[in-house]
This record gives sequence, structure tokens and C-alpha cells, in this order.
Amino acid sequence: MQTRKNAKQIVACRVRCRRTGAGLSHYIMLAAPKKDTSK
Amino acid sequence: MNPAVSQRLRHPRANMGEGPQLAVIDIGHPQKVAVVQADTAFWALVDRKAVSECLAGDFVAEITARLPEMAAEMENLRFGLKPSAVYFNPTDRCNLNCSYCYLPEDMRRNGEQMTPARLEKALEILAGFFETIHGPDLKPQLIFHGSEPMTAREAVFAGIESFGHVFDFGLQTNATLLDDRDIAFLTGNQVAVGISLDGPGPAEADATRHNWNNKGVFDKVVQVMDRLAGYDRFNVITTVTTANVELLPEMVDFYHDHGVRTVMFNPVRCTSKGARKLKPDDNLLAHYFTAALERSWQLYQKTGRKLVVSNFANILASILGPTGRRLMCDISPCGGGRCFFAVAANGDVFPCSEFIGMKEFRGGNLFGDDLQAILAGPVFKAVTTRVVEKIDPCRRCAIRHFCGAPCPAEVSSMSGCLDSPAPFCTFYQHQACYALRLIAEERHHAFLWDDWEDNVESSLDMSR
Repeated sequence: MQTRKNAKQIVACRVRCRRTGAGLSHYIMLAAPKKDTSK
Repeated sequence: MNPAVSQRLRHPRANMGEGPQLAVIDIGHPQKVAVVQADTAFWALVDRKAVSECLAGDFVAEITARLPEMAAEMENLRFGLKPSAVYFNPTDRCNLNCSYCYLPEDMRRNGEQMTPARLEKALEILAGFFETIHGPDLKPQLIFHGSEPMTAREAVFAGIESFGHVFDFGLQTNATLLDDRDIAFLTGNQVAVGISLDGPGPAEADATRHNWNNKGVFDKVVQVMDRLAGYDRFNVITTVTTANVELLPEMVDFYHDHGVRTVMFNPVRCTSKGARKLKPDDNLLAHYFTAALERSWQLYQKTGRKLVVSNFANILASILGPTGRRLMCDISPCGGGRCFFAVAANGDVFPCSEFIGMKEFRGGNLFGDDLQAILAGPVFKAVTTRVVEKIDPCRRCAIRHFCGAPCPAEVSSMSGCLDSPAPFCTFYQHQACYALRLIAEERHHAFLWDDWEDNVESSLDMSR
């Protein structure tokens, strides 16, 4: 995988969060592992 | 078909006419450069010899076709989110007098402190607010923050016991007032705990963090750190100043030796005069910061155990996908007043804890005003409409959405207006280039949280 990707002339990948907006915050909580914020 | 249109469709070009604006950035990699579409935070890593393939033809046509969905994603991230966290100061008072604290000294010496009943009332109001805007499904974050929240231990712990089913609690503390029973209570209730430490030994750590008699607290903080190192909701924040910037690589070894898994190396926020005196030079900071990250890489290779530097991990995550981020400081508008807000000990509401102490940013009072009206009011709007497009040179900067020109409280305090660039602008440039180099070298996973991929999916792959 690594060799194949490095061999590519152009690497353009993007990901998307499945739950955009959940658990976004200021710096304190984000340093700790993210918990599921649904009740 | 009009021949001109036909020609344009056959061979679309970037940077002309209706073509996308693509900036080419030298990221300091021997073989690759970055090609960035700044408005949508799209990036590609491209062999230096292949740059022309990205600026015309099929690649440009494909970017053009995908731009609307990327733009919509950015629009939602920047303007479509609702608050899901609150920073809650149960007390104005602090038992320490750190050199860079952004809260006024008189407030920290003589300020207000909530009683258990007052804190319970505040949490009731906040619970009702979040339920109104999100419904019953979201568990909002509530972070007890300072000054030093543990000076109000009785009220804080009563709140955690009563509202554990409502809020995902966190506590940011200087650690000096935590005993074994407190630690057992916090970990038993799954409260995220952040503590602060500025150096690998007492001489360095105590230079900036000390009590009102200038006595350092290193030994006590390390004792607490050792008790909490194995707890999965624990992190340590090191505020980076002129006093410790050169020690960052050593700090990585120190934390790794102590079993800590998550740290933040936060450049000092230059909100107060004391903090501004301690601001490290951007290039020096970048040098030692990246050296520290490389040291974490070496230790990971050697031991298989990561030390995640979360503030950098967030920049890396936000480049890999804007919605993959967790921190809402490095984006414009920042999260202040729209993803989170702060409540002071007297109930005053501010867009972020960084603004507490700046009266002109008081939006209203939790006990006397409607929270939704505070959030929609002019004070909060000033922060929630601060965008990089209004700031020079950010409006023409290719990494404007990997940086966000933080922080408005800091900027306002330093320049007297909100629409100025980040005090650490150059440092952000270094971080973005380093992050892109790590992606080019496929080393980025070693710098991200282990669970980072749990909540993300691939949304675009134009590699070729």
C-alpha cells in the first residue's frame, strides 16, 4: 500500500467525518480520546 | 456548440477564467509540492515534475466537478453547526499565579465562587438549553475550567454526580488540589481530566507555574500525572513559552517515560501582557516543535507506543479532511460562540474562556438572560463572523482553512481589533508544511489518535 501510494505522481485524498459537528470543542476535551457523545 | 466553450470543456485550466484557483506550495519535500484549492481546503501532493498535469486538463475538470460538494462541506463546518460544549468556571479564584494567565489578578485573588446550589441551577439552565437546540440525543460536553475549578470541589463534584447522565464532563486543573479520593471520583465518573505542566524538571516547570508566593508545584503535578497516566481520558497541556521552547523534544521523552499518551504543546496565548513577554519566536518554536514530533516518531518506532501531540494532530486531521478535526480553534470562524461558549463564576457568558476578563465580550448572564439571545447578540456575532476572508494577508493565503487565524481573543487583545492575522502566523505555515510532508511520506498515522479513523470515511480520492 505504502509503496503503491508513494509511486503515484498525484496523491489527492480527503476524508469526511460521519458525525460532523459532534464532539467538536475547545482544546481541553480534544486532547483526550473522543467519546461517543450520543446519549 | 460555441467553439470557445467546447475548447474550455476539452481543456479546462486552473487560475484562469472560470477555472479553480490552485496555489502551488513548496512544502520542503525533495520530490513533492502541494497544490491547494484554498476556499474548499482541497489539496493534492504532486511530484514536482507533474505539476502541469494538475493545472490543466482532466485533473482540473475533476476538481471543478467536485468543488460544490467540498464547498458545501466547508460551509456547514464554518457556519452550520450548533453549540455542543460549554466551558464552565465555577470559581474566579486560583491557588496559583502563573506568569501567562489571561485572567486578571484581582479576579483570581478575590473573585466569586459558586455554591453547590448555584452551580446546580446553572447546570439545569444549560441542560435545558442544549436539549432545546439538539433534542435528547446529544450529550453535550461541559468542561470545568479555570481559574482553578478544584477550589470549588464540593460544588463541582455535586454537579458531576447530579448531571452525569446529561453532560460529558471534563476538568482542566492545575492538579495541585487533587488527592487520591478525587482521582478515584473523577475516573470512576469517566470525567476527562487535563492537567498543566511546563517542564521536565522543577527548574523549568516552576519558572512559569507557581503559587502566589512564587513556590513551584512540579513535584505535586508529576505525582498526579503518574496516578492518571494510564487513564484513557487524561491529557497534559504544556504551554510553550520562551522559558521551555527548547525543551520540547526532552518533554516528549519525559512524558513517554511516564506513560502519558496524549499531550498538547500549546504556544502561549498572548492575551495578557505577562503572556506576551513570554511569546517564543515563531521559527524557533517551529524548529523545536517539529523536533519534538520527530522524537515522538522515533519513540513510537522503538516502543510501539504513541505520544500524540493533540494540537498538531488536529491540524493534520483537518488537512486530511476538514470535518475530521476535533479542535475548533484552527478554523474561521473559530468555535467560540458557535460550537461552544464559556460561563464565568458570576454567570456571565462569553464566546470562549479566553475572553473571560474582557468585559467588552460579555454577551449576557446565564441567570438573567436568554442563552439563545446571547448567542445571537452583537457581542457573539462579532466573534462568530470573524472570517479569514476579511483579514489581510489571510484572504490570499493558501492555508487559510488549515489555520483559521487564531485566536480572536488573543488578536483583539494584541491589536485592538478582531480582523488581524494570527500572532503565530509563521508557526502555522511551518505546521501545515510539516503535516503535508508527513502525508507525502505516509507517516501521518503515527501522529494521529489511535481511534482517529473510527468516525471518518473516504470522501474523495483523485490519486493517480
